[in-house]
Amino acid sequence: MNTEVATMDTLVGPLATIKNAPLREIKAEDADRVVRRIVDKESLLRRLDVAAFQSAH
Amino acid sequence: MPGRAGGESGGPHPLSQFVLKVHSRCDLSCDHCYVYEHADQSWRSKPKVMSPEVAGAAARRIAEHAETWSLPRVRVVLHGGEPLLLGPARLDELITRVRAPIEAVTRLSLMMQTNGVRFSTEVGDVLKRHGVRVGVSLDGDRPANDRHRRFANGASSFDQVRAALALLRRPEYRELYAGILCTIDVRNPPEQVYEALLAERPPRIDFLLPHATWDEPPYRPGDRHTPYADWLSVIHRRWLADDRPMRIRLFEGLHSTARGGPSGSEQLGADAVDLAVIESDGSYEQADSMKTAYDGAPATGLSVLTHTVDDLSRLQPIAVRQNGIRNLCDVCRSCPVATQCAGGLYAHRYRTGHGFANPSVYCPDLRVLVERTNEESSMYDAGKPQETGTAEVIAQLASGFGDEATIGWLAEQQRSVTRALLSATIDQHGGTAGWEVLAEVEAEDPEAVSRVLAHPYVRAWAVGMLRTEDPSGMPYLGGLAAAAGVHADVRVETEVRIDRGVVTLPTIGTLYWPGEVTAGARITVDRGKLWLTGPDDRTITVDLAQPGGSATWQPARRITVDGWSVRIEDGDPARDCHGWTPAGRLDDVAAARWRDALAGAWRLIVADLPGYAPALRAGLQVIMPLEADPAGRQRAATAMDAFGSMAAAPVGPAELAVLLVHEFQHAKLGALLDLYDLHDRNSDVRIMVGWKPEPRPVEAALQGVYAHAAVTDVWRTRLGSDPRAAELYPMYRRWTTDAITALRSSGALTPLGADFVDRMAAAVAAWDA
Repeated sequence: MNTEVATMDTLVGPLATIKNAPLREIKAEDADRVVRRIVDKESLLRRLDVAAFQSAH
Repeated sequence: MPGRAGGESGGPHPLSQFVLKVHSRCDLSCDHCYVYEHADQSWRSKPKVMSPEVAGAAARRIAEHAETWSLPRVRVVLHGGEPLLLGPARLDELITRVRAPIEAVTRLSLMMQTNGVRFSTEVGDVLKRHGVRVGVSLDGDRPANDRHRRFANGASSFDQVRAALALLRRPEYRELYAGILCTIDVRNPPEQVYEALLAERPPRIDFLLPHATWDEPPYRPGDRHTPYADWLSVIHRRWLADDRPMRIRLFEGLHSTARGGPSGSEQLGADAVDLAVIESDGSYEQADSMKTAYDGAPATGLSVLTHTVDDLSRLQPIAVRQNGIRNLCDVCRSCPVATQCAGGLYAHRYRTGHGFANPSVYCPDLRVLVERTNEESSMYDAGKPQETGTAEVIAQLASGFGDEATIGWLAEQQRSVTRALLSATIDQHGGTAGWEVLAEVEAEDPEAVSRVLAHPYVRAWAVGMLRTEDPSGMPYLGGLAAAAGVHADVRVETEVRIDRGVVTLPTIGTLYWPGEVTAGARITVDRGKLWLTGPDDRTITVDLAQPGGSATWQPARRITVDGWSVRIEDGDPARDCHGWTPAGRLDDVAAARWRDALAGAWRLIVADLPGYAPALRAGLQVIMPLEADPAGRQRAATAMDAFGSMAAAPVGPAELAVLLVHEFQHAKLGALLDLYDLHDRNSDVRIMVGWKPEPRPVEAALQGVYAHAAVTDVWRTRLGSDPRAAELYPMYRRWTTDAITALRSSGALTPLGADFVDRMAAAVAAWDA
């Protein structure tokens, strides 16, 4: 499978944004990234794969 | 054996991605669909449903191929038409048939691409049971989606699709949510499309160019030369400005190919296309996008009922997709962006009479998109604020120690994690009075809130709330607000929950309601006093200026020794996350024993193991007493969702010193692993370690070796002063070095992880110098 590791992300950038935002102004999409990593244990390795859902409209 | 695809092209090669057309009809009638509306009309002659026999045959072919080529993993995409037309029961049966033979020989990743219209909890339960991740098609906001994605009677599918996405965001199905697939229509405003998709909170988005060929060129409004590049560039700039809130494969692929990496896409780049389609009748076909070229274009003449996957892979049109840019036409090969574009999607190159030996019909757009994206991403990278150096953090921690600044930085990251998770609990369960008050206190005194959110078990509580649909624990936030109100010296009145007789005000103390009731209550904090009013309008009043506890109030017990300060946490219900039963509320005698043991342990650490003291001073905040083991064995544990805490059963100072050092190694590495991947989380590798009889997953081995290296160091320093060290030091050292060797040869470490382990190995080797 063409799932070479292309890049590796870190959580540091999103956390810097969250640190500086008042609690009520933390963006849902920023919180989502943390939830995916911490709660759902998402990998930070960016694997790129050819098919995924490329094969569909 | 050649089929319509054009004959053999040499030896076989491995294919590892298979699209199964489990249902060949669709409940939508999208006018841009390549299956029904483009040149290839072969769907008309296909069975509506893939039979269990065909599914089983397909799975056996895939398994046989995986075994032949020793493929570590294959991906199967359940596809259509619309796969959910199968209904939950048949879907369950089909997936079961597909999984069995493949999983007997390799790892299987299952995905489904659906329009989402029929997604339900029943379907979600089936997909969850089989671990099928789901991609949903959505083209943007309502006007954008309604432009094409309609039912046959013209009705909109927008509301049904959004309902499916809402279901996929629920905690029980969130693990299934793979992303959104969006087909571009340049008549839809790109910013609005982006915002509509972002609002659905997808882990990732795929933007697809509408399928077109030189025979059927794409829609181009007016005289615009590169409308698709312009459209995508608007989104690319916005995505960068938002700091890439979700993955967008097209852009990630371009960023990757700009550095010489893979594109991860058929649309761009020279990656080998190692996929095949298996139709509902069992026939093998080429990638679906070929349907846009001409009638019969994807056909191969081969079938799972009669041919192996190797037979398929020998066919010339399949093989030619393995060769990157070597098979491009002359125009493409001479293009300066050839390595990034690689001719675009194969099907988009088609022209009657010339076949596929042409540039893409999107050539002008692709050229501009590649060049513009390169430029914009370079500017983005250059403008990013300097992050704390990863290399320095790795070097500090891999040495086994970590100075106060580094551990302080890790603790700061953990507070941000907690903030994000708290915010997510509100998003999931809805706002609460406690949350509003907490935010109000923060507006007046951010440091007061920060002190409370540093309490290790706030994160543990939030993780628990994010894994449940039950919102009854949400008033925990009221306790945080009340504690922050005390620190900020502002009046606070809000709702809390008495949880089995306890209300926690982290860092301040614990209220004990008479009897282990669980019930709603109100708390008021004002000028150094607090009032808790609960069932039967009974009120507990506490004067925070008065030292010592009472039957209903236990102030936080803080132990300070030579500049080191920790709290003993024996009240917070969220502390029960260490895998052992927490001790109940300590009496004064038990608390005094802990004080003595901790003070003694700290002095031993400072005297004998000073290298570990800065990290403990900066990072360890809470000791959580555990119930003693009935057999007298030592108990201690670190919870990955509670950085800054350590749980232990009562123990003497010398043993406690070792436990503090050992357990905080786990905490440090856990905090590091929150931020970075040191190993491939998808790896199946297991590693033999000396301290466990069974082979361990990579992360467990990494954690174990890091903590045992510190224990080795402890016994090294006790050589000559403790008779046990003569035996224990070489044993721990051997365990550590053997595990390091195994990790290094595992192939499962990332470059960052390899660097970490190398540095750890160097630190251990230096002990013998």
